[in-house]
Amino acid sequence: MVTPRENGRDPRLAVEVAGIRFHNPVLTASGCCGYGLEFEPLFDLSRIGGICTKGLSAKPMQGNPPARIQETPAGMLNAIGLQNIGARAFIEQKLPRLREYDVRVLTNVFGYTIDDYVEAIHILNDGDGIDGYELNISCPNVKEGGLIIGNDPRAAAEVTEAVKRVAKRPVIVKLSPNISDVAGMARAIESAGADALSLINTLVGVSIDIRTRRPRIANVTGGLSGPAIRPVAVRMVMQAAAAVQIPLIGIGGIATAEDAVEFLIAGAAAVQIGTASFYDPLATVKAVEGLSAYLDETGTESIRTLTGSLDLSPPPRGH
Amino acid sequence: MKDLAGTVEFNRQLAPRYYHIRLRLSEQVDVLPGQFAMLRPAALAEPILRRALAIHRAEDASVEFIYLVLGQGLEALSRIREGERVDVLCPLGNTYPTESVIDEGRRAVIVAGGVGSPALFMLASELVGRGADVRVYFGGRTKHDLPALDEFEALGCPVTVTTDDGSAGERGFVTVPLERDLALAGREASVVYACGPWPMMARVSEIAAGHAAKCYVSLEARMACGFGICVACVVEVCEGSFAPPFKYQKVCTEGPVFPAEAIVW
Repeated sequence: MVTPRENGRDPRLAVEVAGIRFHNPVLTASGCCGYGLEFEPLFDLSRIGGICTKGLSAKPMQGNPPARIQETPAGMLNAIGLQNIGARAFIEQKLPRLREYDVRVLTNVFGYTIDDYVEAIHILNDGDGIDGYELNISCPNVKEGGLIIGNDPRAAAEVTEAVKRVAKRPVIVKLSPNISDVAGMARAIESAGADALSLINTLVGVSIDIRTRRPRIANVTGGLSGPAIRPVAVRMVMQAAAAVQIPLIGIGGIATAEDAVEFLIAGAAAVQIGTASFYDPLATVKAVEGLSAYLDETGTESIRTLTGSLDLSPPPRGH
Repeated sequence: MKDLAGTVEFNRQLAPRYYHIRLRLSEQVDVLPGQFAMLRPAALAEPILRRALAIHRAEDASVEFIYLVLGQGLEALSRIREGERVDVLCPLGNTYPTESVIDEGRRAVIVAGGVGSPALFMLASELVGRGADVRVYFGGRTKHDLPALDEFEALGCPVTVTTDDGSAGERGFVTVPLERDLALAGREASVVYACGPWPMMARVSEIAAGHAAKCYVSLEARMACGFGICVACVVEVCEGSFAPPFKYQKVCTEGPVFPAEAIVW
């Protein structure tokens, strides 16, 4: 079977999430694609569905001292510390060039207080060509004694509401996996007005050098990402999908089209590829191609029909 | 920068834990001295991340690397055989400024420490080829820690060897003959290029500054991607050495070569 194409694209892959139309469901994940332009020498950015930028704050951030990463089994820990050029510099230095591509741009935004988020959103509202905002709520809330915003449904809802009041574009809230009640958190954020959820962010971990007895990264704790966390992410997508009506973007150890399909079946409408881009810089474009092949092989009409198609019957005997 | 398939032409052991690999790439690339590649045996499940290696030689569509096996990633690379495939993202990073040597006629003083030497070989080779006054100071812990010494010696420029244990060349640190050399040459006469362990480069930087010699260092850092998206491989730089706002600069895209005076040693 020949894959149908329109303008070099497979129309069966088009999805709409939070009112944003993506020509395919494969996005880069925040913190794993810089500002998108880093991929320019490697592939045409218009080939992927979207770019979710590195986390932006109202003002530039220096990030953490090195060492910032440590490879771990099937994954890695990172504590980059959200080093970024700031929302204003992004609009001036990066966005004009990103706009030259036919790719949706989500800006990831973080803060340590509600005011931080609101200030960054105010700046980004001026950015012509931004399609939506993704909120990183896995930061400590400095006004609440360092409590992680995304671990507290009330705090997460407050940030979401405050951002929704000022945001001129759809707001996607990125869930922390370091919570026990996924459904409760997802509902709290949905009730606060979020247009979509993306999940998951990294899991908090530590790695110790047994010779020096010191932590392997300077920040002591880091965020675990990569294939190691994929089953956790699929489980959380499945649980969130059962709890809310708003669309989900699946994230967590996705490296291939097959991995992406698993998230779609669990309930995601689109996916983000993160850590895999580090070791396979073409992972996103390969996944787009692979999704077309999957539709061909399985005789599936469109990628949209996969979303939430999970059959919870037990695996067949002999498997 | 291209993501290419490399086919192993040879992968041989040079000394305990040191290997020399040559790959034929699916496409020709133009490599500048000091640039590097991110490598991983194709279809390797783990470790997942590629490893950054300085390009030791490059010609037509072949690239060579010399590496010291320290962990799982390079251990896996050391096991692959002729004809097998390696994923190669290259060329990456910047190069050594050589205007002061080529245009202004200053001496080039190359300081290699152990497995830092491959990052300097193309530079030495190119400068010798252009008729520059080049000398090499090559230090290692033992005689086994002087990878590609024979290739430096074959360039025809003076090569001074030191080892910590005296098993080859002069006993002691490479910075001792370096300091003698710079003192004899006089102020502002030399440009120093160094790659090796951090304490060596810190001392080389200090000695070069003491003799008003320009100094460039090639740095190594834990790196996940090699092209600027992970922002892990940073080094702290001195205020004013780079445009604001960052005090941490990426070794992969702002380096790996930095002016020594820009680094917070």
